[in-house]
Amino acid sequence: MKKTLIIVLLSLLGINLSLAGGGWPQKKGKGYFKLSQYAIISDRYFSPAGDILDIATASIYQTSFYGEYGLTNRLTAIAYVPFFSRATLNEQVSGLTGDLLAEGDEVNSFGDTDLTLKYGLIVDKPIVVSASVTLGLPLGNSAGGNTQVLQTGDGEFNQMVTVEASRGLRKGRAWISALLAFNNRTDNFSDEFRYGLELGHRLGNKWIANFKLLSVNSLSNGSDFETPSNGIFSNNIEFIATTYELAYNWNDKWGVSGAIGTALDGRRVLASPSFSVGIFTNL
Amino acid sequence: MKKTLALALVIGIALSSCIGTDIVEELVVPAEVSITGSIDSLMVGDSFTFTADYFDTLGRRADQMIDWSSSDPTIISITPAGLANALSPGNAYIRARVGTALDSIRVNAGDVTSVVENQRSGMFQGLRNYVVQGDFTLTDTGDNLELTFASNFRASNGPGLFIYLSNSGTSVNGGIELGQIMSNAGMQTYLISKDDAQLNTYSHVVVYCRPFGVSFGFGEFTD
Repeated sequence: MKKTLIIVLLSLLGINLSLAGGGWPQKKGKGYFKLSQYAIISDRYFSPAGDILDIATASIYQTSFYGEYGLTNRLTAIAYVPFFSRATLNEQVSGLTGDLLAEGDEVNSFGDTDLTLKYGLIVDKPIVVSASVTLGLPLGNSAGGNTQVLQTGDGEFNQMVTVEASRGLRKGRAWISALLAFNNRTDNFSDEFRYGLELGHRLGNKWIANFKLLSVNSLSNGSDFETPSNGIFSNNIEFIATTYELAYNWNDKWGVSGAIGTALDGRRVLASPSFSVGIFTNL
Repeated sequence: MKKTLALALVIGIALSSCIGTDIVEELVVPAEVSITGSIDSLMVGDSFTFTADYFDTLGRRADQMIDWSSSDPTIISITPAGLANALSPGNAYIRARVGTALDSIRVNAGDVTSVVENQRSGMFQGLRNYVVQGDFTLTDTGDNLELTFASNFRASNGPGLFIYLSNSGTSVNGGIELGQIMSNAGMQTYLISKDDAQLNTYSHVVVYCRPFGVSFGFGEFTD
């Protein structure tokens, strides 16, 4: 079976589920901050049946801020703020006649924003465990552009509870993290169960390689007929996706990273690779 | 710090693209002729003007001279303009042809002239796990056509769903757009000018995601 690469536009999935930090909270007064650019361009889409459809090319670009800051040694505040989000839809032209079949469209706006508090339940042990509560604020546009179908958000308020566990390996040069999450969605959207896995390893003194696996599963307890949003990215999204990330540390404080997202299966998500680049700093 | 932020923003702007263009390779289909607004019997001595639509290989309705003929001109004759005259009792097939595209209808020449039913109906079915269900009817009211979805109609929510009359369940090439879906559930009615379509012009009703070019479901007329 032909493997299909897909990109999942996390910003449209309700909540940005980052594994950065894993089960480790930040120390008091310490932090991690990242400025990122994310892009996906896709003319393929996973239908509700899981097969791939050809669609008009849709693209999303997001410039975002991600920050973690240790309020105490156990309590960390986290924010994901996509302060510029752009969605476009290609115009459609007949290859036989050259006639314009459908006009293109675009929307630019703020995106859906996540605010999280993470608490270290078990710290300073070989295996650390944290729990977090995330509020997904619907600050994006769920019906933008002339067609009213472009989205920079899903239009609903999420509340997600996550438990993460991490363990250092190879004298701290590698680590493994796992997460379980329940995402309570409002406005007739189905709730979600999520699980994820992260494997990270330092390569020399400058490089870090990360592999992330994330599965989002709908509980199908919402209503496709009653969700207020008119978008294909909104309700009953499901996928299992992998992300490969490489980070380079210029020095102790600054670094850059790049990532590519792929997925093995999906429902109601775009089916193309996604890319992101970022600049981060450690406080 | 400022340089870093500036660099990041430049990267962001560079990656933010303009609207592109998709070249759509439209489905090429056999040309079709469809006899519209019709009768199934014609009283001997009476006349009736038949009409027909022609659809090209892109499924588009196009103006073409229709070549009319009768299988038995001694029973029913027909002029190049489609005017049929019942001359003697019996049955004949009235044929409309453009090139190799052909449609025909069996007409009885007898004691009465009767118009074919002024209503067609069908039932929706979803595609690709999208829910589209319920019954619909297309009625010739004299001045217009009315497409009515019954109260059992339901369709999945989706971006930019429009209703089309088409000759395919998965493509709306050559079809006519009736407007954005009024509601995802329940009875609703769409008016269609007879300048755009006749009762028998199209074979399918399609629930279509226009911005992304995906059929959510369709119903085929069963009569």
